[in-house]
Amino acid sequence: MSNNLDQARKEYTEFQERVKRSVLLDNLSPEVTAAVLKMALEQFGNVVNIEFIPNLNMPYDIPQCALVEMDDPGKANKVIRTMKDFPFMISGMPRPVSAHPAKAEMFTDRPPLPGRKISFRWVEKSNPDFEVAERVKRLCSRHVKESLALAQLQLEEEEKLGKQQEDMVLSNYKKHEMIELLLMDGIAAKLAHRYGIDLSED
Amino acid sequence: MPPAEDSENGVLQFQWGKRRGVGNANKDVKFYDSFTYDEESYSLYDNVYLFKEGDSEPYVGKILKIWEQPGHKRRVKILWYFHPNDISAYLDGHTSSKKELFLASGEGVGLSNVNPLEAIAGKCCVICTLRDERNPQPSSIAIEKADFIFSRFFDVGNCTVLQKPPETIAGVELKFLLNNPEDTKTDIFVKLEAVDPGGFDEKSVKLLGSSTDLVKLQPVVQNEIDPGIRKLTIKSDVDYADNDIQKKVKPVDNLIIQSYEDQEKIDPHTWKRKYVSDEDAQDNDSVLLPKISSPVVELAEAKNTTLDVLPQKPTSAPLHQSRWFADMPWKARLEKAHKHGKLMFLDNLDPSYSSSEIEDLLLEALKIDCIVKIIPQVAFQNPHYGQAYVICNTKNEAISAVQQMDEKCLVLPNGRPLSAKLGMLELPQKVSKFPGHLKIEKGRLQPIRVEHKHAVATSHCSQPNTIEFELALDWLLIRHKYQRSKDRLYKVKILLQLLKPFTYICIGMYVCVYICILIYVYILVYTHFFLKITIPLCIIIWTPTLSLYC
Repeated sequence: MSNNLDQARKEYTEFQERVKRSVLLDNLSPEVTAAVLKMALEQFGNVVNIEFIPNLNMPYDIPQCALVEMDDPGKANKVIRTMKDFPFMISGMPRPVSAHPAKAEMFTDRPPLPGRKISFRWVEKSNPDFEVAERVKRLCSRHVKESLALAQLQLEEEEKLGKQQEDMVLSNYKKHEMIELLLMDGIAAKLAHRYGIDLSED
Repeated sequence: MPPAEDSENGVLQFQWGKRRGVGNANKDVKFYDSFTYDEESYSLYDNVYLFKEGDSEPYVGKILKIWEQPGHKRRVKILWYFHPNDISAYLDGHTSSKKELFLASGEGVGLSNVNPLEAIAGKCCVICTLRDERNPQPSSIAIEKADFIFSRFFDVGNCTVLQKPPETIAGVELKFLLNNPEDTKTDIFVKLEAVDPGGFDEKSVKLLGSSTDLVKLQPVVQNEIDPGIRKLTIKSDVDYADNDIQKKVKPVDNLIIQSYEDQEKIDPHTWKRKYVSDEDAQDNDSVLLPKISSPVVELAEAKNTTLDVLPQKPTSAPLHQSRWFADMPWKARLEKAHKHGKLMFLDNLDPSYSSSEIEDLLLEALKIDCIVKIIPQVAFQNPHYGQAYVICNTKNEAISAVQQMDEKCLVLPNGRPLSAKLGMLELPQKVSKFPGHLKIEKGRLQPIRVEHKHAVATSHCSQPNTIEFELALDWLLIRHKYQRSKDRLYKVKILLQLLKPFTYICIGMYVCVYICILIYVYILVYTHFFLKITIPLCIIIWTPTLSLYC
């Protein structure tokens, strides 16, 4: 029995080490694959494992996120620091990737906390606590809805920003293209000649 | 989301065995007798598991041919076994045990298929219990240890269960398809040995006689025929026409013990997890899994739904599930369970609970054995609530569990009542939209440079002197804004929860102090005006004020 417990403890400490080595990358484009991610992070250190986290409970299109395990905690820290200090792009611009330190709750395959046994009790309808429990349940569902609403708002705003930036970049691009076209066609040179402006002069 | 594939991480070791010959028409096709794949050796007529994505039950088949096509495409021809569920509509009242399989025979769709060799997921122990002189008889222990047994054949052409074994199946003689006679040497099976009739005592013969009567009544009979300590249990629903064979069956004790040990050696979880995804399958042009004529499939599906009602479970299936299908993407598993109505969603768990802890909890509280998948706490989840999906074994189990939790509350140690509901949350279809990555169509003025063409997906830190940097700052800004608002949203919640009891205490104390003051004033008034006998007056004055204050 104690052997079991020891083993569970050992497993748990190993898991905690793993958590320390890991980084959560968020705001990844759906086009990013494990190979791309590996190549992008290889500059910080060896990548041990990459695990994409599927969206299992959000009714919206959320960006992809992945847990990346580096080979030591220092390198994981380096990744997080770099991505905090600079906008870091992976396969696409200008939306940067964000990195957070991993937490135990992010791993679905985490081992149980050693020595803990979840106790429980049934609260019957006749029990006055039943009413309280029902209320807590309602509160819980309200909170879930609230966070969903916030997420929705965020996604909407992100989309808006994306659209706005796209418009801006496109119009800028068009402008530059037009100027270049004019210069190449010689129209600019002709006009300059007519108005007596020297174009070569800056 | 692309599933992480095993094959990417480790290349499975593979080796061909003895060459059998080359193809007649095409000399590039090489036939083999055996091969070693992932440290397991397979040879012709071995029984194997085949796994298709999205199906929880593995297919079981027999290898009929092994060959290599040009371009290093490895193929196997598989003769299928049917699960009783698959052909339940055609069983016509034949009962079958959960462990029983039916070997395909006759001619038609669903008899056999050509599959990529990589689809094989592992060896399967299927033992033939057919009473036939060509079939070496298995021992009782071997039967118990086997994953499946078979003794009957299903004709795919006219969809009937054959009682008499056919002479050939798919061009292969029957004797190759029964138990491998070589295995008898390796002592998994019992030697058939003539027993001196005198040594057979009367009692056991009587026992036999009575049990043959039972055969007619019960489909599954357990016969005790060994006179000694050892019991030989034979499970079969085939007519026990001749008892002579049985009388001759005498398990040789040391053989059985040896075979038992052998089984033990085989059994420990040597199965390697492999998973052939659909993409792979599509590449390998000719993947076909057993397809019987469509009415059968439909009926089988209809049967599946009714089957859920029965609280039965094959003894070996969960074992395989846990060993084999861990690599199947969770999303697909959940969707499948949802389709069968076996999925349950739990909310308001403690976020620190792990899947196995919740499994234990549910086993204890609801007496259900299930598989739990915790939803990872990432970007958008509320960090105070743990959520999890539960895959139950049957639909009814899921429904009754949810009902139970609705009728009375299951309260966890820190006062959290569990809330459960059936089914899966609404999820978006395939993710395609991702705002924020801009692409500019290359104009005619900018020819695409060669290095640009060859550039693979890039990653870089953006420099402060580019437009990109400024645009990225906008993104960072928005992200921080929402991070802050999230923090506040979740923080306020904790405060509110803490505040509630605190405010009650405050109000209580406030009222107490007020009453004390009133009493004090009352006493003062009482002592001052006592002599003047103005108490009634005081009461008249003070009562309305008191009630007003209260």
